Formats: sequence, C-alpha cells, structure tokens
Amino acid sequence: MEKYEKLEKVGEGTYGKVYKAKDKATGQLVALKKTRLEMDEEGIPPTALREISLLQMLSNSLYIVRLLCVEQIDKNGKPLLYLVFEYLDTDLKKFVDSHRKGPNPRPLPPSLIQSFLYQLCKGVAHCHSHGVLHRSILVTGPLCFLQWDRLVDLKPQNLLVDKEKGILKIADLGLGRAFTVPIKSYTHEIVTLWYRAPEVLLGSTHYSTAVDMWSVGCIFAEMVRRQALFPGDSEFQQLLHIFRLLGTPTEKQWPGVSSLRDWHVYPKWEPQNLASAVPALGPDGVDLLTKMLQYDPADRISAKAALDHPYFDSLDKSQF
Amino acid sequence: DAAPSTSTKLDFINIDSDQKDQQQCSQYALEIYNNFRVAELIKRPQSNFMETLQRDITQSMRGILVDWLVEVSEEYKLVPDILYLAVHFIDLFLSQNYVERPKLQLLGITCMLIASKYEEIRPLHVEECCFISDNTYTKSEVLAMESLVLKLLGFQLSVPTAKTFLRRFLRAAQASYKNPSLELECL
Repeated sequence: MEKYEKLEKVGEGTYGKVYKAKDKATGQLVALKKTRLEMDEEGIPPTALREISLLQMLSNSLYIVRLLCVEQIDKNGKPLLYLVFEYLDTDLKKFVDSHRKGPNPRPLPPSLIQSFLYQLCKGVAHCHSHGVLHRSILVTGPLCFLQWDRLVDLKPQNLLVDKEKGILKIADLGLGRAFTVPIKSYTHEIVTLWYRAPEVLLGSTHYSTAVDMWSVGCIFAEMVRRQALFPGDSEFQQLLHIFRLLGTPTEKQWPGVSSLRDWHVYPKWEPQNLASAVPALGPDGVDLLTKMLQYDPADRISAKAALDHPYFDSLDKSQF
Repeated sequence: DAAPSTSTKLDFINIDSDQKDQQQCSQYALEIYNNFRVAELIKRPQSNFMETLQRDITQSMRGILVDWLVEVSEEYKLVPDILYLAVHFIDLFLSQNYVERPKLQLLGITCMLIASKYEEIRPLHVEECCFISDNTYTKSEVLAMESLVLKLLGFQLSVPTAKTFLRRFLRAAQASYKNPSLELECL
C-alpha cells in the first residue's frame, strides 16, 4: 500500500478503519477501507466476495461511488483486503445536519434537493436495472437470493456528497456490515429503521425494488424537513410513526396486508395531509413523495418512473 | 403505406405483464436482461485457449474436470448456477494463464468454492474442497489459488452465464402453458 499516503482517519466501523488518502503518483484523493478478514480458515468471506463484485458491476454509474481497486496484501502473515474508493468530502446526513445545527441553520435550497433526489433516483434505477436491490440481489427466477440479507440500508449516512459540485452518490452497498460478522449477529446490531419500508417491518418475505423507493421517499422528506420523517426506535414504534401520518393501512388500500406475518391489530388512524409534514415542498414534490410512500409496494412509483415525474421538469437534466 | 396483405398480426404474450408479482421484477426484467447481454460481451473466455496458450492440458481433460464438477455439484446439492459460474471462471482463468496438468483440478475445485461463496447461503468449506479432491491439495494451496483466481478475475463475479438466460427463455417458452412445469421452472 506504498502507493497511497494516508492523510487522516475519516471513519471507523466494526469492519475496520477508513482513511482519507492520496495516490502518491497521481495526487488523487481516495478513501481507503481496510478490512481485516477472518481469512485463516475459509479464505475470503462470501459477503465480501458478493459486495465487491456487485460494486465492480455497478461502479460504472456516476451515481454509485466508484471502487477504484481492490488490493489483497499480506501483513505479517495476516491477509488484509484494502478497498480503494473515490473520495467525497461528506455524506448526506452530515450535510443535512449542518443545515439544521451549527452557526448558520438554513433550509437546503429547493433546487439542490431536486438535484440530489434526481441523482439518487438515477443511482437506484441503475442498481435495479442490474438486478441489484440495495444490499441484496433481486430475484429474477424462482430462486430466492433475498435470503442472503434482508436488511435494506439506503439511508443518508450511505449517500456521499460533494458539496462543491453538488454531486450525490450511493455508497457502501452494505460492505461495512457485510465484512464484519456472520449474518446471525445482524439482529443484535442497532440498525436504523427510519427508512425501512412497511412491508419489511410487517415481516413480508416477498419484497422487491419498491423497498428502496420507500427509503428514497423518506430521504426526500428528510432533505426538505431537515429531520427524519419517521424516527422510530423499535420496529413497532416505526410502524406507528408511519401509520400516524399516512393512516393505518386497510385491506382495500393494500390487499394482503392483514395476512403479513407481523401484522397485529393497530389503532385505526386516519391519513393526515402529507403536505403538512413537508410544508416547504411544492405540489409536484408532494405528489412525487406521495407516490413514493404508497403502502402497497405494487402501487409505489419505480425509480425509473420517478425520473420522469413533473417535479423534475424544472431541473436541467442535461448536466446528468 | 398499408401493411402487406399477407401478414397477420402476431399474437404475443407479454411475460412481464404481471406488474403485481414483485418477485419477478417485471418492471425491470427487460432492462436487467439487456444489461446481462451487455455484460456477457465485456468479459468472455477465449474460444481457442487450448490451442494458443495451454500446452500441458487438453480439451478432454477439461471435459473430465467439468464432468467431475457436475458430480460435486450433485453430491453437495449446490444450486445449479454455481456449476455454470465455476466453469466460466475456469475458462476465464485458462484463457489468460498457463496451467499444468497437476494443478487443473485445484483450479476447478477452487472456482467451485468461489462460485459457491457467491451463490450459496451455505457455501462449500475449504476442507470439503480438499476432501473431495482426495486430499491431493492442502487447504493453504486452495486458499492461495482462491486469492490468485480472484485477483485475475478482478473480483468481477457478478456475471451472467447460460443458466441466467435459460431461466428467462424457459419463462418465455412456458408462457402459453396453463400449468407451467414446475420441473422446468426450477431447473
């Protein structure tokens, strides 16, 4: 790894450390993710294999963080895997936080929200059209690959932002978690539920691309509000947050909902006006958000269709 | 500009019309398969590596290796995709690297290991790989080969194989059946 000069540690997860570094030859800034693999017995962990190969496949999109290379090195007999990513200066969570807190609290410019959402939809559409659901592989046949990993992890922390250029990219296709631990320990981990689709919360075993669009909707609302739309702290609370705003779902609205595994009898809330939760958003934006937050996954707008929504009519799409 | 009078309107069945079936990803099926077609062209094995690069191994040895991997796949009840993927990795490796006869089986079982890690919920264990090759190779030889193959493939394991397309073709072929054969669906 002599090719890179480590500048500073920018993150530390259970999976290892992330450094901001510079390619000595080209001067390019990169993010180095060091992963200590438990490779002694079984070689490269399957989760790492999948994630890296998915990233390799998706990395040709501008809206997915670019994996520049993978370096396998041997350090004192211990195998190490370094992932070299392009470097972006912040993530959407920090970016939104900086507009809420700090010396100069102010809303995000509407045109920036529009542009970020467009780029996010572009990235998600790219994943979906390659058969990749965030953190899982889509089912294109009778085999259910979703058993690999049921966690959906599209959230502001995983969206990297270039402040200067106004660029947003999807990062971390679950590498962080995937590298560390066997799947069984996922349940003990604190995972944010805020962006999780109701069908996942209700224990549906058959879910698809629509789960990502729910997350996109929540992120959209959060950019407008500068705070999370559904900040639940348990799966039950998460559902109540959703039901209180959107109304408790009915069989008529969402056929089959009451036969989902974790369905219980909930208080019957009436739907509130969604516009009141995002007062700064115009009617086109509210309409798109409404389509992203449909209860029945089959009714939820796809990323591809969202790109053609009138909300984006005023956006200069030639730059994308 | 009238259509030729002899032509009759063909009756197509849209196999992606079931928008309600989330698992079949109808909205994206066409694009997913178009992207597979593109991906297939990006990296494919040479058709003549036996003549141009390999000197110690032959077509029939490759054949014997694949037959053996079929047996391994059945013995361990691996999903069929793994076999197709493993053979693809073997051919890619042989397209670029000279391999001597005693190492061919090591390459084969290692590619099977990698493919099973990619596809299976419970992949093969390194020890099983050694056992089924009659302990011809040690665990560390398998691990070293794994590292070598992954380096050569650049970790690009998300690739379509014949099996990927077969699934789609079977779906299309069965479109007009009232009761699709479950046997074919699960092939």
